[in-house]
Amino acid sequence: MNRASIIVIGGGHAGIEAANAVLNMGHKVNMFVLDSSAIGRMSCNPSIGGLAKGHLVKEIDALGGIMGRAADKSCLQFKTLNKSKGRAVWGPRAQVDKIKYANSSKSFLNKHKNFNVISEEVVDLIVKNNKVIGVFTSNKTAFYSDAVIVTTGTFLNGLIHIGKDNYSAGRIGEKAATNLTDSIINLGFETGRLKTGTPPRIEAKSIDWKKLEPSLGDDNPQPFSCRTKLPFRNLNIPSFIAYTNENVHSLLEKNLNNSPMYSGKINGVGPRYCPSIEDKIVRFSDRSRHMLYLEPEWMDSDQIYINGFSTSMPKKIQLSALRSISGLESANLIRPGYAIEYDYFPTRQLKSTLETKSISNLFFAGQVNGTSGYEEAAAQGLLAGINSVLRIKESEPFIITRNEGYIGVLIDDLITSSINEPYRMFTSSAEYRLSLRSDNADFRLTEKGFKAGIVSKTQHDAFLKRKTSVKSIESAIINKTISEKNKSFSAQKYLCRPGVGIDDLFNFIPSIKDKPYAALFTAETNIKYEGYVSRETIRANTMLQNEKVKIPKDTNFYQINGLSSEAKEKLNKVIPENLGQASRIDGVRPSDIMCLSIAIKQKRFT
Amino acid sequence: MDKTSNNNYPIAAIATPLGMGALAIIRISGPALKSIYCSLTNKKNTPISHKASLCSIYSAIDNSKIDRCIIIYYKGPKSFTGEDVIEINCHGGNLIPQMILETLSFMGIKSAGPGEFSLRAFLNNKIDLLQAESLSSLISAKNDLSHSVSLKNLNGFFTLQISSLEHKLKTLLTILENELNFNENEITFSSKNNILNSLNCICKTLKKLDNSSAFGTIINSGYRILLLGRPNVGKSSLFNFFLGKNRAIVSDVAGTTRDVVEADSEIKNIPVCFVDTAGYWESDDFLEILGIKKTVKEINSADIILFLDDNDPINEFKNINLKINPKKLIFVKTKEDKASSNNKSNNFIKISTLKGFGINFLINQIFEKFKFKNDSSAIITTNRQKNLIKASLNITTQSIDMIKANQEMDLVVSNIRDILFNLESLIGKIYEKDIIDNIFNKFCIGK
Repeated sequence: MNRASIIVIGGGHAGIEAANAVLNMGHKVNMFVLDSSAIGRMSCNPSIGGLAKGHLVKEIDALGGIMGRAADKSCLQFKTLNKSKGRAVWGPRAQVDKIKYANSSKSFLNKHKNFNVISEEVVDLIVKNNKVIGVFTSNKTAFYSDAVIVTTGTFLNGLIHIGKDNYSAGRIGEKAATNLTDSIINLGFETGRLKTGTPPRIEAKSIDWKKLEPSLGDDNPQPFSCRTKLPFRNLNIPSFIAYTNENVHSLLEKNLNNSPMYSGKINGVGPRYCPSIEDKIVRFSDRSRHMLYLEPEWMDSDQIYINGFSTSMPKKIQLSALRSISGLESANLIRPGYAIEYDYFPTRQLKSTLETKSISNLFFAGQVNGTSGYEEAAAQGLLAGINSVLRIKESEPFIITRNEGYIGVLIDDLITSSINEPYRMFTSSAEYRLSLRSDNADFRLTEKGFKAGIVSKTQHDAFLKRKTSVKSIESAIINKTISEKNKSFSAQKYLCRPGVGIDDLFNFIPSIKDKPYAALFTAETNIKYEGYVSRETIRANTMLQNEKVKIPKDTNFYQINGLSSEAKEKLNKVIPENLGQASRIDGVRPSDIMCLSIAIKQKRFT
Repeated sequence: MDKTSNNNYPIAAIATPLGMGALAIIRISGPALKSIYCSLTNKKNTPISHKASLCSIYSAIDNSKIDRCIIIYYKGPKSFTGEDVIEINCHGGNLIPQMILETLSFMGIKSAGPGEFSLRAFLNNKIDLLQAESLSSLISAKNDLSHSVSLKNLNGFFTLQISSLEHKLKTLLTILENELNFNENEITFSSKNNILNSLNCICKTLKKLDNSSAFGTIINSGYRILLLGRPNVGKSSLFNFFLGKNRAIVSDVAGTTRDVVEADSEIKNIPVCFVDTAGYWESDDFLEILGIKKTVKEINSADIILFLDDNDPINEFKNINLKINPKKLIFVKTKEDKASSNNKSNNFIKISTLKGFGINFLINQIFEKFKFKNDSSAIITTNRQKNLIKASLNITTQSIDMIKANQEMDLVVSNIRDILFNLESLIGKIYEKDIIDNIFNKFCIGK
């Protein structure tokens, strides 16, 4: 009991994927949580996926992860966002039943005999010769392991703000972890402070639903997980749309001095991209209204989540602002929105495996690395889990490059750029976006995952079957010449025309008609996007040349002539592993990369 | 790190051409040259930076005096390489410069490789990639025009134009990426016309640059002037007349690959290349041979075509039924050995290579056909530049069409990233090892 291969501290989305990855690779996990009933709890929005985040869910699934499957099992409504903009930026998103989601996550973990949950607070790491060998709990018990993954989310010195009040907590109603940060700081790590927020929850029966616009999901929803049985059905429960108005805006504006963000009570930096409602009215003062989605938190829930109304105003003001909205005139608060400040560890202290640079076998993943969002956390947990096992086996690390997946972009961004606000995944961060679509995540990652021992044989076999299916559709199209009215043209070129879909080919190529929808979709996209993707690949290949140039560990950047002083300082702080990473550090210019590459080359050859 | 792992060591080379000259210049560059200066000159201090001073140079091997010369000391970073630079203006010939180099080598100073000084200037941000390329062309410039274009590019004019395009593309990209990042109902989209306007503006500049590549080719390889006509009308005589009968510079490739004789020359400082098509025409059945693609290819690639005949060139031209752009054509009546006051009649020029009549008039006519576009646009001079500009232009045109056809924005944005990528590699913002090596390898030693 006191010994496991891997210790995972925390049972959120990062912790779950980390544990699952380790278990899939056949190793024993001890997961430490403050409250075992809270494993897999979704602390904010009742949904999984969305723009760029949907891509992450697909990739996690392609690597044998839990998130997509749990979302499919608990799905209340499935909708693909951004459908007007091209399929590389489509964002699959599921509204889920939070209770079911947490339960199914737990049940996936509990299937493994090697999985243990220990409900004790970790207060210290046991480190010997700069290597972590276990943890101490608040009961003064030592637990040993070969590696430790820290996935403590917002719980490290968590401080909740509502109006001018604040108190220590990890999430509302759950206590914070106050000792672990000090222990990690004592090991020489730098910490920073970030903040995030969540909107109020209101009583369903206090809402005048007739005044709100219903919003339904896709007619032909496709599941996140390739392991979810088809046809995929969900309840398609509507969410409802409400709008803020000038009255709401002026009320909030008058009370800005009561907001902890604006009165200077919060020191942490919040996410620009997921702004609170008070942020929105200040920053987008020209907009007369903002759209809000009212989403159920679980099936037949009496608790409604107000998506788009994150706030840390005093409770009284939150309520009067909400009651100024059409349909919410007699709304009752179940729980006010709040802001939470928490400790994070700047990620330049990590390698691309998410292992810390200074303490070996210690991994950080999730919100503790300054990211926001369930999906970003889960992706890191998965990678930390895989790499912790590979580390103790002394095998090659599992690295996803920027042209292989959003997970690769996410981790590379984290370790090369200085994060000064919570990091959210965007499709614009992926410079090879056309190749990194949500529909081809398995093509990019499943075989790689299988080779690393993370993907099961069953999943891999299913993927190979799908691959064959896609390839057969593609070759049927490529080899087909359509003859019509004395004219003949290639089916491939025909399909590339704007407005033409694969179903337009069914009459000409009946053999593809009965293929699975997902295979048809991928084949169609591959053909339509081919010309663009091939140019993107040229770009990627040029840029990725630099990833292959390793920077020797003992490089003293201050000794390299020609580097700007800013570059010297930044390089010395980050200590990039290769030239590619170096080129992406803020403040490092192309000419600095030249100098660096020549310095590396000369050392190699003289 | 060991000492050779960076550029932290001085280099030296003779910067002037080898051989017998009155003077030679030896250039030394390195991070700190004070001690080298002092031991070379037996002085205790370096002189004022950027000022010429007269001193003696002593051998580091036996302390004997080598030469009395002018030395200029440039304190870095205000120097060509951005490091300390010493330029020794010594007496020429083979002996003295070599002795100085030997002494420098004895002091542990490495000999510079080709382009190493320029590479250091590049690394120290004194010049950018396009400037380095121009520098290389400047040194190898064959004529005045090529020289002035290279100089213009060296002054950073080209880079400035590309940087401005880069800025426009980035602004556009920021807007479009932002729209892709958010859900449809969260933001207001920018209008299609605004996007088209900025792409059209970018397209216009790229087109101008692309057109300049034709001019850039001329600068480096000259206007192609083709001599066409029946056998024995005097094509070869005119060819040799132009070249001053200096057959030494004629590159004869007849029968092997091109069946033409061509030679470089200049007309009023403009580089030209005369092409004599004798190879085809002195054949029994020239009309049949005319039909072969090679002839047409020669005609198409020519900038100016002189159509020669000893009787009536215009009539003869009609007879052979060839399609040639009239703007390219000059009709020439040869063997006009009797002096005539009227050189030009019936739209052809009368000449005599035997007596030299009409030749100057012909030269003036050819000169007028040269298209000079010496406007403010930068000029492309290398194939690398040409290919990148061409690719950027093609993708830009494609993107404009795509927006008009309401194609998906993710594809359009990817295209814009491709354009940006091409332009950034053009000015060396994207580090591509092979390209950098190629550019600096073209230099001679000492630059």
